Amino acid sequence: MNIMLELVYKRKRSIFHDASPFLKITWLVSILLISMIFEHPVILSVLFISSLFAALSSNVFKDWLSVMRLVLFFVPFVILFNMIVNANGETVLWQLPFMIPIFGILNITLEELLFSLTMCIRLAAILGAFALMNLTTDPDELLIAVTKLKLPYRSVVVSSLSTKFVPVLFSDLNNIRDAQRSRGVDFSKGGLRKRIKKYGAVFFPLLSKSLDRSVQIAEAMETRGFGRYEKRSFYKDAKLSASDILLIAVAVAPFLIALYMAFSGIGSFRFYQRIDPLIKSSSEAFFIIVMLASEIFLLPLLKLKGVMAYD
Amino acid sequence: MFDESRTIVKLWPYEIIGIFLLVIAAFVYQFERKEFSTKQLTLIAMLSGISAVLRIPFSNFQGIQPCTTLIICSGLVFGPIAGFFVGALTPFVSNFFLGHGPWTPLQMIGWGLPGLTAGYLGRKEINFKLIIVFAVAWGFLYGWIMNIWHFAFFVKPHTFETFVRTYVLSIGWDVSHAIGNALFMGIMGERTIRILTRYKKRFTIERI
Repeated sequence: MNIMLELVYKRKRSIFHDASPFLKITWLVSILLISMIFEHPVILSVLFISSLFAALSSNVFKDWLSVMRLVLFFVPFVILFNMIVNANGETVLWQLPFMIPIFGILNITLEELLFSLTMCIRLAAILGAFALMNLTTDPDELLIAVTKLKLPYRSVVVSSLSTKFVPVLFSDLNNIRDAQRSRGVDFSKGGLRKRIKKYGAVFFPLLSKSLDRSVQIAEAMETRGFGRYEKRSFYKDAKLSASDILLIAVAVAPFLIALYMAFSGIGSFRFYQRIDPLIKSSSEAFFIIVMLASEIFLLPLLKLKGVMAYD
Repeated sequence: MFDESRTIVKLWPYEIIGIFLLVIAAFVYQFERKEFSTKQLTLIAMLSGISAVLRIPFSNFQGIQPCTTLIICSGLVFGPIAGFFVGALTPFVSNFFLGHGPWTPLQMIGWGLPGLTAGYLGRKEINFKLIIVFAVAWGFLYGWIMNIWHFAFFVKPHTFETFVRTYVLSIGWDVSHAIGNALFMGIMGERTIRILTRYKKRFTIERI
């Protein structure tokens, strides 16, 4: 339970921690969009590799890996699921020796296997980019950046408040649980019904306590003039420097390449009835290498910016 | 076997996610337009925070989760828009700890809609048994909404056959979610509604 709370932002120094939040948002969105456009296993692996390199260079690799373990947990499920749902593909690898009433003959084919694995790579690429963003970005900075992007202000405030409450509520939850335990409530005994009833002994005090707290926070916000003026002021400011704009342009580049590929029909991939060859043409190979290069090119630039800023 | 002509709909994952994001954007627009006091804003934030915290220790038990109960209760007491936001923020916030991904918008809708519909339900005097039935129904509906994502993302030929198979396979999860909802709502629902109603009476002003 506490492991979950370990996987949040911690103040550290690395090229990704020091990068502008605008840049990180651009990078994340670019990876998300590319991974949504293509189903090509090699392109998706390229995306995963680029977020892997970014994680390697940003001092949070261990935490990042523990998030990635989640994907490994997904893999057998996805393969099993595809085996039951699909009956496609030519190359049968293995077949269940008996029939199942509704589903018929179950078999696993090379095509299904590759499709499942590709979808898991896609998931890993998306999750990896998100995890890196979570681990290296201060929620406050992200809030300021998001507000500056002219996103709806009140919704942003509510969601960031809510995110900030979570660790506080967690320690409250643990305190109340300890208090109830010292009064003789044993949370590890009983069936499901009884356990839920005991769970109420933690839930109701937490609820009433937090409702009172929410009033206090609202009053604190009102005394500081929340909602008084149309335009808010900032305690810390997030400014875009010229070098940041250059870096954002570099982060957008892979997405532009991807758009060009999609419109000229390069990078499509068919799984059924028979899988396409992984690399179909030399132009496809060329564009994939360019995409990988432009993703990884961002990292030395970030490093360079760090060196120039602090020396 | 696979036949191109039998593909019922060409569902690409990013189209699905785009549609769900648009729905969320429409609700955000509604939320921004409506006048909320600071107390109501912090209340929504706090309720979704509690709901997210309740979700985290239960993330290992597929489906048996107390947060749907809290979302429905807040919808019943504080109205549709507040209910939707408590529900939608629950996965959004807890996924910072459990892992964000392309499923987040679908979860936001899947938990936001119970809050929204409960808000409309709460405008009339209703029997508590009906609320339990409502919670059970949303146990299934949440699973069906999440199946759309699974179908678009992990299943390749989108035929009617694979669609039915996907939904048949999810029955186990849906039933366990529905049972969990019924138990949590039956045991803790009434008292939660009482606490929230008392809070509402304390801090809302009625002009006569």
